[in-house]
Amino acid sequence: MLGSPTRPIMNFLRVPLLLFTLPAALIAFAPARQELFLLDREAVAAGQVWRLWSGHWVHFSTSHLVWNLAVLFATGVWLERLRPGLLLRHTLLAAPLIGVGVLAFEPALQRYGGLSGLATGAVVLLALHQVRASGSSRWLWAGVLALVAFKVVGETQRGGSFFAGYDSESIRTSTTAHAAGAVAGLLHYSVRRFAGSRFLKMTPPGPVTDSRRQGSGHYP
Amino acid sequence: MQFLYPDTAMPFVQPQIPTLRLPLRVGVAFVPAGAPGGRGFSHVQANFTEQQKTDLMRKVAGQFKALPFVQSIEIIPATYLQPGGGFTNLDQLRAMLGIDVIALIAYDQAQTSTDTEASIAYWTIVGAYVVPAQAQATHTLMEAVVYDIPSRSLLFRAPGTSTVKGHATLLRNTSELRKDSAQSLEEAAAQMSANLAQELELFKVRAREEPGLVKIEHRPGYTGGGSLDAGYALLLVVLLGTAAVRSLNRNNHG
Repeated sequence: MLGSPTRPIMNFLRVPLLLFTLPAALIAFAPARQELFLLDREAVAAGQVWRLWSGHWVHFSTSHLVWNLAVLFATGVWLERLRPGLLLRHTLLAAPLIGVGVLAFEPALQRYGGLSGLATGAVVLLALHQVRASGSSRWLWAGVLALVAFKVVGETQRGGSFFAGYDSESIRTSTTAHAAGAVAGLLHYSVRRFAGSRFLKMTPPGPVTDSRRQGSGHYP
Repeated sequence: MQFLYPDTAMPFVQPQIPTLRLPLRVGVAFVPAGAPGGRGFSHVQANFTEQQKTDLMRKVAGQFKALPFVQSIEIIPATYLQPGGGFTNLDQLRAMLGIDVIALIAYDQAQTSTDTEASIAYWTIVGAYVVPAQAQATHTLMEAVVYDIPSRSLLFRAPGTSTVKGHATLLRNTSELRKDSAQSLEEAAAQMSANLAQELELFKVRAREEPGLVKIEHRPGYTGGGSLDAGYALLLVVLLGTAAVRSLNRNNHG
């Protein structure tokens, strides 16, 4: 089973559900409110910096939402199982990095939305961890990294998909977001691996030992 | 061709690699009627009313409107195009209406009516009224060509053809030819519309796979979407699932 008596499955599902699925789905059902959350260049310049995080929740079509969530949810559950708290930390750091990257490297872009940048970063982070940690499945995770690299490089050279299925004719796929997400995942992994920062090694309180609550498997 | 290159003495305009700035603004128009032809065929001013032309242009416009990279469609009245107007006329339309790409629809129809052996019955006078001794044929060619106006480049074309054959009495020859004309135009228009939809899809594929064919830019102020393609996302999910299964098996056996 994915879960265990000490680590129920809801522990792994909680963060991806609350961090991505629920907000993105709520915003998708309230299109009139999208403007409040969308990453808008002028709004960010005017001081609305929360959009660097909230912009990732906004999607422009059902398929846009579904495929992004499919990958991010699957990756997020795995990351939570691997290192509780890692997904949240990665999201807090990577989201503004991707937003700034998109605004900086696509100067004609006015607004941005979508979880694919975060999804790419999460996949890279997970794959790098697993390439190092897992034994016989190392080749599989190396394949995942190769697939992401192929996708990011190919998109950058080709200029992305011009005819993607969005609901509006003025929306184009941002390839910078995927590249920025991959870089964010790589950076996060590198800092954890090589810098040994005490801040990044902090983990949320885990199972309590040496107390009456030993074996509960729940965070206090 | 007569509309776009009316003066053969003029130097040929070399088309450049088109640069499409998305989202596109497309115009749809009928080419003004050309000169009558010869060679035994009667080139008719086909029974294509203005209403029918407008309906067809709306149908073509609807096909373009369904595309996510098209911002607006302008149906251009016939009076805005001059016979033999050429690219100068198109430049004027571009300046006036703000269109980048234009779909020009042209048609040509030829009808024949010949006496068959049964026409000997006309000697009886009554035979002219009751014997369908006139063999009729109506040939229609309709074509939509899509041009990028600034670069003078042909992006793609979609033809539609129709042949309607029949017989009629001498008395009803003209009216039957008129009916055949209308039927043939409808059939050619339907085929052209179907081919246009196909060519649009092929153009999208070619533009993606052959970057040298057309340059694509986006107008400033566009919205960017962070989106994973369905195929790529599915592949990632399958790989993650495979890794998960392997991990669970290892944990269960370990």
